[in-house]
Amino acid sequence: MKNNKPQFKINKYLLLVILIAGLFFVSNKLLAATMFFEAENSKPAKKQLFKVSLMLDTQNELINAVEGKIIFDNNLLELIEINEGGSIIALWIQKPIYQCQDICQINFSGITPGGSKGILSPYYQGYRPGKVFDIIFKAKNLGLANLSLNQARVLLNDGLGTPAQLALSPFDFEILDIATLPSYTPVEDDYPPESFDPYISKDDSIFDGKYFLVFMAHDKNSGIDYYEISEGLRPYTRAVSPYLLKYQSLDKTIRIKAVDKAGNQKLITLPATYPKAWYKNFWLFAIAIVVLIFLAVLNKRQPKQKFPQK
Amino acid sequence: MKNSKKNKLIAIFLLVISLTIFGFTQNYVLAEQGTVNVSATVAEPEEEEEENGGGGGGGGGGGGGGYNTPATSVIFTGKAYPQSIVTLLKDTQVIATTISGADANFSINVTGLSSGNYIFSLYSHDEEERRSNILTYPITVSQGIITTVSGVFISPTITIDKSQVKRGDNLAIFGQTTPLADITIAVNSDIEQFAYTSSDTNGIYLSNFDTSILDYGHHNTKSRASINNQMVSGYSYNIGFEVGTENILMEENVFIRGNVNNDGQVNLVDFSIVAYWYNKPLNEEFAQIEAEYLNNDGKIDLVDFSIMAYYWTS
Repeated sequence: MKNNKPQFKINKYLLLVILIAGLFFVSNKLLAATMFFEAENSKPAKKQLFKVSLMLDTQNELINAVEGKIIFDNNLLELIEINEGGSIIALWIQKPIYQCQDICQINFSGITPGGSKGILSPYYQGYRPGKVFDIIFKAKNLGLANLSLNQARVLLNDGLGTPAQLALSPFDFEILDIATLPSYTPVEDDYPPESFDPYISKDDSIFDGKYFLVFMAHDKNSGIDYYEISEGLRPYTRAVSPYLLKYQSLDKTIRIKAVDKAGNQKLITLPATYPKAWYKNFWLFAIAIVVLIFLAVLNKRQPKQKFPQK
Repeated sequence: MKNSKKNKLIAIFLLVISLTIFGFTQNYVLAEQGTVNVSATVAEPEEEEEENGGGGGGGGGGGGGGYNTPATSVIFTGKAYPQSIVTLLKDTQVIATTISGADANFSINVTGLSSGNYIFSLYSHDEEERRSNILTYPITVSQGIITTVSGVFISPTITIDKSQVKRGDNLAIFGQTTPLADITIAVNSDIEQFAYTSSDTNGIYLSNFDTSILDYGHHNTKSRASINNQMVSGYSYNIGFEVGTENILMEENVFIRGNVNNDGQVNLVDFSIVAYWYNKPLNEEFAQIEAEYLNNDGKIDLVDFSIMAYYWTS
C-alpha cells in the first residue's frame, strides 16, 4: 500500500505537466487568423455618424489574399462612405462596394504581394492587426444592430493559395437614444493621391489584342474615389483599369487623373509612345493654313500707302 | 515526504523543460519568418537647397521641402547577396534600388513620404539573375520621423540541376545567399526531409541531395539561411521536380507562375489581365493561360490572385 501512494503522486504531477504543456501546444495550433470589427464608438446614438474598421489579425501567418462580404441591416444603419486609405491590402481585385436589396452587403477582395502579417510601427514590438478598410455609418433607428462577415477567406502566401484558418468575429452593438460619445467627424484630407506609374500593354487574351492602359494609385487618407483619362485633345472621361485605348496608334499624349474621396487630384501624363512626325500632323498644317489665310486677308484689307512724290 | 519533494522537483523540471522547448520552437518559428526591428528617430529639419524625393542605396537626405520641414523617411537595412541589386517597392511599385556590399549588407531608403500606412516590399537578384521571393512590410509612417527597419534578411535564391531525377541519383540544389551562412534545405515528401550545408565566401551554396529516400512522383524543395542561429531568413521560393526513372536536365528558361503575359514579370499588367477575367467565364485562349500559369481550375478567383501575389516582381 505504501508504495502505491508516491506512484499515484508521480502520475498526478506528470498528468499536470502533460496537461499544461499540451495546452500550450494545442492553443498554439488552434490560433487562427481573425477578421473582426473595431469601433471607437460602440454605442452610437440615433442620427450619429460613427466609424467601424474591418481588421485582420493574421496570428503570425503570412496572408496575401483576402475576400469576404459584410452584411448589415439598412433599417438600422445607413452607409455613408467606405474608406480604403491606409489599408494593408495593396491591390484591390474588387474595391469594397455595397449593394442593398433585402439586406445590405459590402463585397471586397484584394491582395498584398509578398503577404502581410499585420502592421509594423516603431512604437510597439512586432505586428499589430492591420486595417482592411473603414466604413462610416449613420445610425438610423434605435435598436440592436449587427455587422457580420460572410463567405470570408484569407489565403496563405505559399504560392498555392492555401486557405488559412480563419475566425470571424461579428460586431453587435446598440443604437441608443442619447449620445455617449461625439459623432464621427471626417479627418481633413489635403493630400493628393500618391504618384503612380501607368503602363501601356497589349495581350491577345483581352480586348482582342489591342493596346490597353493599366493603372493603380494609392491614397493614404481618404482613399481613391475614381480615375479620369484624356487621350490627345479628347475630354476627360471616367475610367477603370484595364482601359482600352481609343487611339491604338499610340501617337497621343495620355493624361490620367486619380481623384481621392476628398477631391484631391494627382495627374500623371504619359507622352505619346509613337509621336507623329511634324509633317504628318494634320493640325499643324491646318493651323498654318488658317494663319496664312488670316495674314492674306489682313494684307488685302490694309490700304496701300502712297508715298509722297519728290 | 522525501519522495513527495522529489516528485515535485521532477514535475517542475519536466514543466520547465516543456515550456523551454515550447518557447524555443515559438522563437524559432518567429525567427524563421524573418523578424525585423523597427525604430524611430526624429528627422533633422531640411534646408531649402536640398532636393526632394528620391531614395536609394546608402544615401540619406531628401524629403519634405521647406526649411523647417523635417524629412519623413524609411530606411531598410539588412542582408541580401554579395554585390546584388536590392529593389524596394512602395505600394507594389519600384521606388528605389541599391547594390549590396561584398558582405551582402545593404541599406536603402525612401524619402519624401507623407504620414500614413505604406506597404514596402524588398527583393534581390543573385549573380545568375535568379530572384529572391518578395518580403513585405506594411509600416505606419509618422510625419517628421525617420523609421528604420533593420534585420531584413532576404531569402536565398534556389534552383536545381534536373527537372526530373532518376530515383537514387543525386539532385543538385543550389543558389546564393549571404556569405558563410548555414543553409537548411527542405524537400517535401510524406515526411519532410532536410539537408544542411553552408554558403561559401561568395554566398554560393550547393547540396547534392540523395533522392533514394524520396518516393516516385512530384516533390518541392526550398531553402533558408541562418547566421549563428540569430538571423534567420524566410524560405526561398518552392521549386518543383519529379522523381522518376530517368534524369531530365533543368531547362534554362525560367517559368514564372502568374506571368500570364509571358514578359518575365508578374506585375500590374498581369494583375489587370487576370482581373479582367475575374468572375467571368474564360474564353478558350485565356483558359489555356489559366491552366499553365495559374491554378488550372478553369476560373479566375482569389486563389489565382494569391498565386500572383506570391510570385510578384513589380
